[in-house]
This record gives sequence, structure tokens and C-alpha cells, in this order.
Amino acid sequence: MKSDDIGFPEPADDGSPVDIQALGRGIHEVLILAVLRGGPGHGYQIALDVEDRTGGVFVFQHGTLYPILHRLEKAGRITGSWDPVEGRRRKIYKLTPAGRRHLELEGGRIEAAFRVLHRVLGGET
Amino acid sequence: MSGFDVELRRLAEELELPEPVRSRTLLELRSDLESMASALRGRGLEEGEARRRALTLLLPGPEERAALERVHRPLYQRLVDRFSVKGRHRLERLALVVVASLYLAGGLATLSRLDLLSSPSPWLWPVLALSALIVVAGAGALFQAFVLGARDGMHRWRGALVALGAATLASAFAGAMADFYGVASRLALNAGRSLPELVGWLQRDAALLSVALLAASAAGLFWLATSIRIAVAEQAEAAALGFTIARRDL
Repeated sequence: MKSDDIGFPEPADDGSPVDIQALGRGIHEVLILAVLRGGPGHGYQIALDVEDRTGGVFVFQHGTLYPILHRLEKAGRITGSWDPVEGRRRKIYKLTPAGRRHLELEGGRIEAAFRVLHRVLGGET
Repeated sequence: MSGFDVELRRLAEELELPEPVRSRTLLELRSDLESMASALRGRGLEEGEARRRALTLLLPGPEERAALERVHRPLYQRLVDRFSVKGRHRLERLALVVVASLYLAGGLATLSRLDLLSSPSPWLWPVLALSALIVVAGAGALFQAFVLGARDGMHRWRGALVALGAATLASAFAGAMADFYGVASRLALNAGRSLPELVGWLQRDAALLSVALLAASAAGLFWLATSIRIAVAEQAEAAALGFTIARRDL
């Protein structure tokens, strides 16, 4: 498995090894994109939604959210804009069509990687 | 003031991002921390616990700061990553020498075309050299402001621009006065040559003062562009850190 420009794992169908670190980053990216598929959100809302939807299995701690959000924004997979709320400006993120395509593609790839992992852990051959 | 001022100011000291990304990131983080704490209070957490949890979840640690710095590394720095620090500095100095050389070549060609180099004021050369340094300082300031987004660098080059602009004007006016006294003393010895002497003085020193005024104006424009960039960054950071409320669009 090789990585694309933002370190996301490519499919394992060529038999090459999985980059575990890239897979970890990729999971976080897919989680953020999946949350934003439901509508635009502020950073803190995304963090809370990911935690809620995964039952606390995936939690963005120590600001891990921001490098991922900014990387996705730079890659054009989400757009950030400043939203005036009660006299303050808050940054709100929105999924782009490129982000939606990425989510569908990479979500499938991660599922495939986890099926392989599950098979191994389950002792299947 | 919010409950996160101390943490945000500490983060601002440690966060090495180019402007304006740095100020925007601080502002984003501030609003998210406040909103997160408010949302957690709405879920039943008491004030202190909501604040601590918001900080644990959102405040970037050293690794996350480094990751943010990698994401926002300016294109120029990514391009020159292959060079050592010493090599990069050498490259930057070479670029400044090229800028100064091109300016001097263009300036001399223009003065020559205008026939202002046939009998120039001896003060023209130091003024030209100072004006070349203004161009170098201007290029440095704009590079720091718009390519690297480094506020320390902007301050440094902006200070140099003020000093060089003042030195250029002072040299030119001192030169013009010295030339004038030279002409006056020659006329005192030979009053019959007053017209050609005066015309020659006017031509020489008009060129001298024109070069100096143009260079000082350029220094002023470079200074203004850099100052606006610094002011925008400082205003945005002040808003992010709670000193004031941002009134302009980010």
C-alpha cells in the first residue's frame, strides 16, 4: 500500500504492505469528511460529533483535529469560511465535491483494509 | 476576556506559523475552545470540568503544533528544503545581489539615456548605492511579508528601510548643498562663467535629488506595504488573543 499526497493509504489490492501511520491519518480524515457529509460544522462540533458517533472510540485529543482539518482544506476536500456568530468570527468547514469523492473512495479502501485485519484476527485463512 | 486567555497566549508564543495563518489559527482555536466549553456545559459538565475537557481535546500539543507547521510550511521553504541553512542563506544573499545589480544597471542606463552622467555630482554615486540598498531592503521586507509571513523579519527590514530612506535624502541634500557652495566659490573667482556654472549645477543636482527622492519614495512605499501587513497580522492576533474584537474580514 502506498500513500498519496496527503499520506492516505492506497488500496492493498496490489499486495503491497499497509502504511499503518497513513492508515491512522486516513481514518481521522474519513471520520471528519463523514461528519461534514451531514452538513457544515465548526471544528469543535466536528470533534464532538466524531466522539459521539463512534461512542468515544475515536477522540481528537490535544488539538490533533486542526492539522487534519487544515490539510484537508489545503487539499481542497473541505472549504473553511468565517461565520459571524454573536459578534465573533468562527470558522466553519464544508465538504466539497472532491471531499465527497475522496470519502467514498477512501472509505471503501479503509473498509477493505479492516476486513483483511478482521480476517487475520479472526483466524480465517 | 475568555477563560482561555492564558493558554492561548502561551500557544501564541510557541506557534511558529507564517502570517496570516498564525493569527487565523489562534482565532479559530479561541472560538472553538469557547464554543466547546459552552457545549459541554450544556451537556451537564460543571464550568471547570468543561474548560479542562475543551483544552484537552482542542489545544494543540508540541506534536500537533509541529504538524500544523508542516501543513502550512511556505512553498518557498519547501522548495529550498534540499539546501542546508548555510546554503539557503547564501542563495538568498545571491538573490539580493542580483536584485541590486539589476537595479543599478537599469538606473545607470536610464541616467545615461537622459544624459545625466556626462558630468555627474560626485554625491550621485553614494546616493545611487544607498538607493540600491533601499531596493534590497524593500525586496527583503516584501519577501518576509508575503512569502515567509515572518513578522520578526518584517520588523527588521522595515527598520532598515526607514534608516536607508533617511540616509539617502540626507546624503542628497548634503551633496546638493556642498555642490552649491562649490559653485559659489568658483563664481566668486570667475563671475564671468556664472551661467554655465549655474546651469551645470542645476543639471547635476536635479539628477542627484531626483534619484534620492525616487529612492526615498520607494522606501516609503515598501515601508507602507510592510507596515500594513504587520498591522493586519497584529490586529488579527490581538482579536484572537482577546485584546480586542476583530472588525475587519479575515
